[in-house]
Amino acid sequence: MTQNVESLEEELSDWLVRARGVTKSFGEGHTKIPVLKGVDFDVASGEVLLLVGPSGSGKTTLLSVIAGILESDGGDVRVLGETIQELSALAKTNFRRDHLGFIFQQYNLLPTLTAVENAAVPLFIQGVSRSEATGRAEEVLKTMGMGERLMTLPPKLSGGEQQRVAIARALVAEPQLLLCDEPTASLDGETGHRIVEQLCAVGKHPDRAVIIVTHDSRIFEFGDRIVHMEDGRIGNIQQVRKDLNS
Amino acid sequence: MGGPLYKGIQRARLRDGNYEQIALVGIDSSTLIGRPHTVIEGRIEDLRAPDTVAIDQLAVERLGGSVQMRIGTRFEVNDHLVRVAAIVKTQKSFQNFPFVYTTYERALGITPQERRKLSYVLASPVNGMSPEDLAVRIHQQTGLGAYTGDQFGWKTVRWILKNTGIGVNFGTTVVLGFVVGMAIAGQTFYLFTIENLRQFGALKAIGASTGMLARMILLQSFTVGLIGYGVGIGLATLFGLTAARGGRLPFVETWPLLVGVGIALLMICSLSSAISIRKLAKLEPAVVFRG
Repeated sequence: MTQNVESLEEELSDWLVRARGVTKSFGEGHTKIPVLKGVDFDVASGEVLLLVGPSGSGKTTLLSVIAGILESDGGDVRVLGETIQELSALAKTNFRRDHLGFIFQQYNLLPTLTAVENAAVPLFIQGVSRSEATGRAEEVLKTMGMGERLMTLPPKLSGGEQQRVAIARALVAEPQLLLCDEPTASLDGETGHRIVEQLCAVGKHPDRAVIIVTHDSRIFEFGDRIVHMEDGRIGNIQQVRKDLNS
Repeated sequence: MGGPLYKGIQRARLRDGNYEQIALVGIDSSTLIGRPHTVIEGRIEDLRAPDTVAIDQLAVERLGGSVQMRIGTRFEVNDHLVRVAAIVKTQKSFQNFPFVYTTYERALGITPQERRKLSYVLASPVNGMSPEDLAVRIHQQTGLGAYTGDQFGWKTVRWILKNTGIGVNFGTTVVLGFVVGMAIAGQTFYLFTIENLRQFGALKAIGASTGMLARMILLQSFTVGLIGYGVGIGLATLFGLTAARGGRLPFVETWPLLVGVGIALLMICSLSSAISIRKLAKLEPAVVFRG
């Protein structure tokens, strides 16, 4: 089922992300490359949204702009009611700390920290005490079947285990918006499926949402909507879960 | 109370015919002011007897040759035969010469003819007067330089730093050590930062501020620095004590030295971390999204 953004906007009232006319270019002068060319984009509460498209279509750039990691050149990005481009650098950092969770393609775990310490990093950053942070991280890791690997260092974990630690790190502070960049790219089919199922479970929470940038067609079935990007613009939007606009 | 003091470098002839340089100290025979605090063997008052000297532990080791130096042992200083009346404990001097004490008058007789032989006049204040006040009053009344023990000590240090090669040589070594230490530490930290740029980027994306990352780098730097400080001071102390035990080198480790080294080390850590912190401050967290 394909639908345009405007019709969805009317149907869905509770947006966590709303972007309008977002533009972003890299480079200067004649080497300037426009990457986002006026993107309109929304994510609703309780939604798992897949952002797909060919390499260079602007998916990751859009994700970075939503997270306040990259500054957009134009347009308006509202996340959880905050206009991102109006926040100072420190306020953006604090906003990410308090409200967003990240899962990266390459995990980016700290190699000298154990699995449980890695998962607890966002809580350490928030200033939560060490015992409470590791306790909460331990609980999240156990729900992911990592109870036996809590004290293991990342280099001794398999790719799937490392990604589960990365997901635990993203979830431990209970963020409202989870941003995932190719979370299954380095995983085999079965592990990828299991991990996306866990992400979807988070996205089903009524106050939360998950955005997954992916090339992996094996996980398309898990999204509530699939947003196609092409050449810096939103192409079509495929509605998978019917109850989103019911 | 006061008295004259002679101090000069002389030559002692050993039983085996060899010569050894000594620091000859002549003290006032009536007051014995300037005498060493600790007498290990014999009596310092016996310096009033003819041809007597008091020697320190270093002299016992160096002047004896094949003969064990003890009370009553005789040896020559500038062709004057002297007899050991006491063995005393002294602090090793910077020049590391054995100390030989005798009376001021005998020291004048032993040493070659010179126009002026009075090195210093030692004075102690009467009860109720501080050494500082006494030094000021002596200076005011005589126009001569007058110093307390501490002032004289620092004057000596300044003189040595200014008039010998020690200041330049040691200063150069210290500056080189500082620069090399900073370069190596800075490069190590920078490489560490570069190698872990993605992890730092991830931390920034997750919500760690630049200030927090800077504190992390500084903590790592100071931790490594403090471990290095402990190991370095430990090894230097061990070396110093080992060398001092053989009587070859004087070794003194004062608390200002330890504090000074600590401060220098903290400076090295801070400055070497600064390059990494600058890199992290400029780091775009978007680096983590680049596959």
